[in-house]
Amino acid sequence: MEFIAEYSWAIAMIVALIIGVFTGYPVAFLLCGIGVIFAILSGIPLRFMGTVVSKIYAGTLSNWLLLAAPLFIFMGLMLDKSGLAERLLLTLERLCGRLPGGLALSVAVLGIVMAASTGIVGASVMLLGVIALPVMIRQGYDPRFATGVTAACGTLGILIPPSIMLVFMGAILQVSIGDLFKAAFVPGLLLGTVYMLYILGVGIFAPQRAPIPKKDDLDKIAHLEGNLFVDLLKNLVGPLFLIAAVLGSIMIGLATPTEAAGIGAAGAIVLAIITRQLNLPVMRTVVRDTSKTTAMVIFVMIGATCFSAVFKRLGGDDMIEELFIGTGYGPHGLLLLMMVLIFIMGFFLEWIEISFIVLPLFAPIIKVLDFGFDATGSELLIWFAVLAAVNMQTSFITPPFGYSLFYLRGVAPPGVDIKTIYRSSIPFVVLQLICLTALILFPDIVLWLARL
Amino acid sequence: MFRQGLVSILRSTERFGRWLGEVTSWFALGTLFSVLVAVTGGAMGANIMLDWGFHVPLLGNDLTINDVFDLEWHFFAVMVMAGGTYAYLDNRHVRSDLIYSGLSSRAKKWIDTIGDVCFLLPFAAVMVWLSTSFVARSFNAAEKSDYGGMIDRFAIKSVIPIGFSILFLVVLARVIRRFLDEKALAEETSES
Repeated sequence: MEFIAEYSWAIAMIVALIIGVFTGYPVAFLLCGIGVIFAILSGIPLRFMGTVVSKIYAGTLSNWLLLAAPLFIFMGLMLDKSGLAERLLLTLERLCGRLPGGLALSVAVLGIVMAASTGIVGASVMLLGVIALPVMIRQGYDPRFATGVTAACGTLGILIPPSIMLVFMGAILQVSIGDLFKAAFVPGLLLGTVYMLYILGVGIFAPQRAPIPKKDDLDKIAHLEGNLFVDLLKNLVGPLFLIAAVLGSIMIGLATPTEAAGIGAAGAIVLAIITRQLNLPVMRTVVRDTSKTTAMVIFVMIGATCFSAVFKRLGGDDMIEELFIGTGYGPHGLLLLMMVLIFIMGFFLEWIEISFIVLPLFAPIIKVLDFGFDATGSELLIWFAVLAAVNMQTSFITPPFGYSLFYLRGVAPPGVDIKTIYRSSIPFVVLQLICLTALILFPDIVLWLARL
Repeated sequence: MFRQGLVSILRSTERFGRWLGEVTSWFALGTLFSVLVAVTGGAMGANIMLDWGFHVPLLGNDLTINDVFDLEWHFFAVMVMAGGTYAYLDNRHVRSDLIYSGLSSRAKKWIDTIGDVCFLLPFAAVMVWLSTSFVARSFNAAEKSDYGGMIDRFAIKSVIPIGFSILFLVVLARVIRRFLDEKALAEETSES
């Protein structure tokens, strides 16, 4: 009781936030408003909110690190809206279509290559749901397999660098974004490989669920009569080279993430010009969507700034820390508890809100724990960020609330109901959980590349 | 008559917000271009890129690589502040859809209205009020970059009060119009 009395305002803020989130009012504005209202109610002088203004300026608007986000978003949108992504998929399908589970493999590759830069989870899942899912189903793929592939591969993109989520996590946790990219690379690749092995397995051992299309059908899918080799060069090599150049330059430390993002965005424009897809309407759509998507994320950041400033002032940070330490759990117990909490929040919130609200509360606790392996505070945070990222990704494809599943249902062809989507996502959830466990037990998988 | 006049003023306010968002969205290319210039300039080791020798607002007498670094986020800041309003008008701010998506349009209208009035408008108002003095301090101190970049920091800081003022007006217009101009609004939002 004493605890509740001491922290009554902070508790009330959390309750208000939870209720507000469920009404469906935009979370960014909710965070802003709850901050202001609780400052007034609890008698904090409104002048105190002046610190929020300077934080918006110094931490957000003039934050050089964040520039990577709109540039990566631009790059992703340019590849998407200029039709490069779609033609990449069609070429991949033509190339791997005759392999067991080949169409699904193409989706996995596209998910890894492309979705990285589309920002929110929904966008990449819907992209794949529109361009890839109908092809698989028309070719006789079991919807209970095909929908899971689509949802899981569309969601994989938020982890694999260059991911917008990692840019913001780096800024939030104040660790190097380049290191975070390096740390997420191997786990992302691991997940991608595991997905592909699963798809191959289904293709080989249950071919009726993923039948191999006839060669004519494949050519029809790609509706290309041209030479396969020329197509490959134009549609596959370009985008793959672009992504490789962007990632590679960050990995070997040649460019900062912002610079690499700039080069990537410029490269996407060049590719669109080469394939004669760049015109004013495309460019207009791309810049407008870049602006809206960026602002959407940044406004959650602004809202979280306002909420956290008041929350902290009312002792919320101490409360969270006391709650966690008060459980008496050891380091791994605490980590597990946080993971479960993030997992549950992933049902209701995008990575955007979780990263901005929850990570700053958990980070100071994680930073000082001893997990029994040798690591500095910022290495622990990098590890934690990657765990949180894989965790959210799992949460987004977990029935019955997973975000990606809802988005997919929205664009799925008629005849695919939500139950089918639920069932097909379960194998991928299991694969995710196995990988997540491995990352917790063997932190080196995450950290070795960043340590080089 | 009065009602029609009011509605048309409200619509113009919203249209202005959207127009501003559309125009400033091109600043994404500004950020991109300045990043590319900085990368090339850095690779060539150029410091002063252009020297015109007379005073220009924001940039001073010459264009140095640090000016370009500053330009990158100046474009970004303007785009984001105007983009917040733009995204509001296009209903692009992220929501938790679980319950909301199943509600009637009437219930949605009330949730959005109550939220806008209780949360968004007060916040925008407080930000406008407090950021004005923030800009004024910068102006009085003639604050500029402390690493040889752009001058006139008050100009970029003023996007905070200006941006939140526009957001406030647009949201206010939208809230009132939800009750005066229901049909037209429903058509507009379903289009975007």
